[in-house]
Amino acid sequence: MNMGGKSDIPLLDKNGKRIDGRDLEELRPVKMEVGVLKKADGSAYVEWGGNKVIAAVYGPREVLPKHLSNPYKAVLTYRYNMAPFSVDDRKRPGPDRRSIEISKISREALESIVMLEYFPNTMIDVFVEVLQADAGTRCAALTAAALALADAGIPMRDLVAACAAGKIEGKVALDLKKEEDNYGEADMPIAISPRTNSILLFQMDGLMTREEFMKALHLAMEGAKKINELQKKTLKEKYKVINLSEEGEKNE
Amino acid sequence: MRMIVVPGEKLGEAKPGKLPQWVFRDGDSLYSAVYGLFDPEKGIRVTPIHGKYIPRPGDIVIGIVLSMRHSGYLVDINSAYIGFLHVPREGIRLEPGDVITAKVSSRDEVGNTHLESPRRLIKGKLIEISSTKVPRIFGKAGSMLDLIRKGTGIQIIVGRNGRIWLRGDREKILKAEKVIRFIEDNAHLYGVTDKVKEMLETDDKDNEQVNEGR
Repeated sequence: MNMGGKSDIPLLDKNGKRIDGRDLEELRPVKMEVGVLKKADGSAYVEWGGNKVIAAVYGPREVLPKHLSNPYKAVLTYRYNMAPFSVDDRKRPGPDRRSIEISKISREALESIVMLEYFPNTMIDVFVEVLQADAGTRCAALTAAALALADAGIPMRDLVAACAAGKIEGKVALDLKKEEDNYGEADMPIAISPRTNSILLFQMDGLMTREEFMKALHLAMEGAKKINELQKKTLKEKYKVINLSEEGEKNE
Repeated sequence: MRMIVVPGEKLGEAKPGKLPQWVFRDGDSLYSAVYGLFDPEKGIRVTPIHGKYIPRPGDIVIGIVLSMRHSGYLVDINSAYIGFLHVPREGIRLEPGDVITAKVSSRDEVGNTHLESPRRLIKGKLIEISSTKVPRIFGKAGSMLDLIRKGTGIQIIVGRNGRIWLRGDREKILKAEKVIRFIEDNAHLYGVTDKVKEMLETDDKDNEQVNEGR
C-alpha cells in the first residue's frame, strides 16, 4: 500500500461525499459468483468496486512435496497473485515482498477456521488471482477464497468475510478506494469470523487516534458483516430447492 | 423441506450424544460445517453439495492403476487419498492405466487406504461425477439405478467415489450419461425420478443434440 503525500484533489467534497459519490460509511458495489471454474474443486469470482478477483480451490489432495505432509491435519496453502495488467503501470509478474506477506497472513486467517483435522496427510490449495486492483484487494481476495472453499465442500467453522476501513482528510471512512488509500491518512484491512465476531486478520498503516481506531474497527466489522450476508446469499441462490414435477405441471 | 446451509450456519440446539458428520458444536448450539442441504424435519443432518470422496471400509470404488509396487499397486480412487491394492504372488496382473473395481478394506486415521477384491473393467466408458451425488444415482435401495439400467439395457457399475462405468450400445451409453448428468445437476431438487422416467421413455431422437453438447 502506497502511502503517498497530500493530494491536490480533495478526497471529500463540501457535502462530505467521497470522490466516487459515496458516504463515509458506505461500501462500494459488490458482486459475487461461485462455481466459475470447471477444473477447480471450488471457485468464486468477486467484483468489489474496481477490484476483480478470481479464486480457485483444489483439494484435499495428495501433498506435494511429500515431506510437507502432516499426519495430524491437512496443509493449507494460499497464493495471492496480482496479474501484470491489474494496475496502471505494469506489475512485474511473480511473487514479491508484498504478495508473499499477503499470502502468509491470509493463509493464517483461513487456517483458524478451516477444519484441517478432517483430512490428515492431505493438502488444500487456494489460489487467488487479482485481475484488476483498486485498493482493498486482500479483502476481496479473502472473501472470494472463503466462497471458493465453501464451494469445494471443505468443512469450515464459518465463512470468512473481510473489509477495510481507513481515514481520509481526518475522517474515518469505510472501504477505501485507490486514491483514498494513496492520499489518505490510514488504512486498516481486517478479516473476521462473523459468527463469533473474532478477528482473523488485522493490519494497519498510517496513524489514527485511539477514538478513530475504535470507530474504524467497528466500521470495518460492520462492513465485513454486510459482505458476509452477500456471501451467504450468493451461495444460497446458486441452488434453489424446487420440485421438478410441480414446475413441469405449471409449465404445461 | 430441504434448505441450503452454509458453513457456520446454526442448525439447532445441542443434544447429548454423538455429533453427526459435517456438524460441529460451539457452546449449546450445533452448526453446519459445510455448504450443503439440510432438512429440519429429518433431524440434524447435513449433506454436502460438493466435496472429495473420503474412503470408507466396505465401499465399492472404481480406480485407475497408477503404478506397481513390490507387493501390489497404487490406485487412483478419485479421492484425497491414494489406494493401495495388495496382490499376492499368484494374484491378478495389472498395468498402469487399467481400470478396476475394488472394495475399500480399511482406512486408518492418517488416510492410508487399502483395497481388496479387484476386478478389471474392459472396454466401456468411464465418467466422473461429484462423489456427493452418488447416493442420488443409486436412489432408494438402488431404485434409480435399476430404472436407468432397465431404460437403457446397458451394463452400469457405480463406484462410491463418483466414477461410473458404462458398457453396451454406444447410443444407449450416451443416453445413460445424459440421464446421469441430469441427476447430478439436479440432485438437490424434488421430483427427479419422474423426470428421469420421462427422459428414458422418450425416443433417441434428440440424442444427436446431446453429442454436440458434451
